[in-house]
Amino acid sequence: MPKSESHLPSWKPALLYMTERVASLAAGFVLLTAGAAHLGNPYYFITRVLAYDLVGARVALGLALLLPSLEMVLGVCLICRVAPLSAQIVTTVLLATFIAAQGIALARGLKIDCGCFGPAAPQQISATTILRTSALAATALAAAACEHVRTRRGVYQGE
Amino acid sequence: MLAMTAGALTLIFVELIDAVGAADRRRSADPARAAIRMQAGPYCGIYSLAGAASALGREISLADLISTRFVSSELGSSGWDLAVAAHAHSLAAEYATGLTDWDLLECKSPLILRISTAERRDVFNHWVAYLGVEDGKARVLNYPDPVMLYPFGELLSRWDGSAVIVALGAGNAAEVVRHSRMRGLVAILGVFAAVSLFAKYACHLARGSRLASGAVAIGLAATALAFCHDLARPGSLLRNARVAKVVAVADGAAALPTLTARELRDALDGDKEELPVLVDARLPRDYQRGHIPGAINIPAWATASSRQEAISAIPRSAHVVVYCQGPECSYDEDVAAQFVGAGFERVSLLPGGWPEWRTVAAPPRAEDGG
Repeated sequence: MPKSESHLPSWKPALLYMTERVASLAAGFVLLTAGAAHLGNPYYFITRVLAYDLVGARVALGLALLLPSLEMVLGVCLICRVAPLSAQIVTTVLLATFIAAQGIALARGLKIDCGCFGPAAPQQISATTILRTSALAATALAAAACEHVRTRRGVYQGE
Repeated sequence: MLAMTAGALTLIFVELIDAVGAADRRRSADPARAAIRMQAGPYCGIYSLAGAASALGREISLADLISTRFVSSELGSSGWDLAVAAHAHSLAAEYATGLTDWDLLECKSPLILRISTAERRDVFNHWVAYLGVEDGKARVLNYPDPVMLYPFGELLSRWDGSAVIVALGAGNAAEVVRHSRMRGLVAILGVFAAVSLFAKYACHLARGSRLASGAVAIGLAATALAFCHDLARPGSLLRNARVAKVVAVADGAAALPTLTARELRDALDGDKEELPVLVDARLPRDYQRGHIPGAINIPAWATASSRQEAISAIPRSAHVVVYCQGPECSYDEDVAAQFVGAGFERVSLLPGGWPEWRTVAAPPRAEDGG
């Protein structure tokens, strides 16, 4: 759709685009870092999934197989603007799941490594790790909101 | 919307902080577990270095390595300490982090790996020497055991990706690190190219909702990447699925079958050819004070060699029942995990342990003294 059909003031599309890019790049690089760390040693990732005490061995194996790849794919999509709105929404949902899992572990008094960035950077689950994940989720959500507004207002230039 | 989300999250955090504070107060240190941590000792690093040097044909006396230069804290050596110790004994060494199972399998030199102990999987405070592959398993020198074969998956699940690469020439050690970094870079670039092409192509092909087609494309790309990556890697998860179960049992996450003391007594009174093998996972002194008749003692913190020796004497088809000092004791899960890892199909737990057996099922034998 041509840009001239936009009903937004001229400076708003640029602001929306910049906000979406900054938020997507930030979330994308974090997901890429986490995904690469998990792909490097999926066996350790299994132990971290199991430590949450939410799933059994078979599900943990499946998650250890799929989650790191999903993080990598989402990271690439966010950085390269491939299916951007879908990637931003899936990222938000994924991070919301991580927040819920960490919250449950914290409420149950589990003192475990959150498993966020692999074995090289273990960090015990705490309000800080939940806050960090929440900030990332909010970033992905903000990117999705900007992308949605741009798309709806007709300033979307295609993928 | 964001403000509402932030407000809700703040409330949740306050509740969670209160909850974790209360949980902390309830928890107390377990002296037995602390004893296990100390068993690893501060000298595992230099012991591993001596073993790695020996594998390269250089003998280094442990006495020469016991120095504050090479063991810089009461917890033991750091990776840099071990590299310095290797240099001081005319060996080349590189301390590297972020290594993967590819590096382990392709490296021709011994590596000293930083791993976690059985007690805490997220605390990496123990060094072992990795000396190559034999019969598809890792040859590992794990202080104070001799060189033993470990399943790769089990070793990898305890490794943090850090290693001191020990070699005869400086170029060999540096080359391993260079190859590892190059492989990582190529993999990242490959993922970028493949995902971009795949997802774009899938989006163009899809009709209907762009949002849904994008999500499906992302899911397909992630699944394809997961399977391709796993099947290409030497330490494939799909080919080592048993590891997940071993880890799950050790962490208490997988539900092994359980027996009550009465059920165990019935089993012991039943078919004599189907008698379960009873394994007592407690301290030897507790075992000597009293145990279930016929039980053998395999403590959770027994050395790997003695544990493997005991396990190898039991037929794989046997029904193994592991017990400990009651429901609060988790050592039976650690020992049961060893049996699962060794290929035993019928492993059960007696959650009530020795106290339940004494009070509910049967009085202890007089000669047991319990």
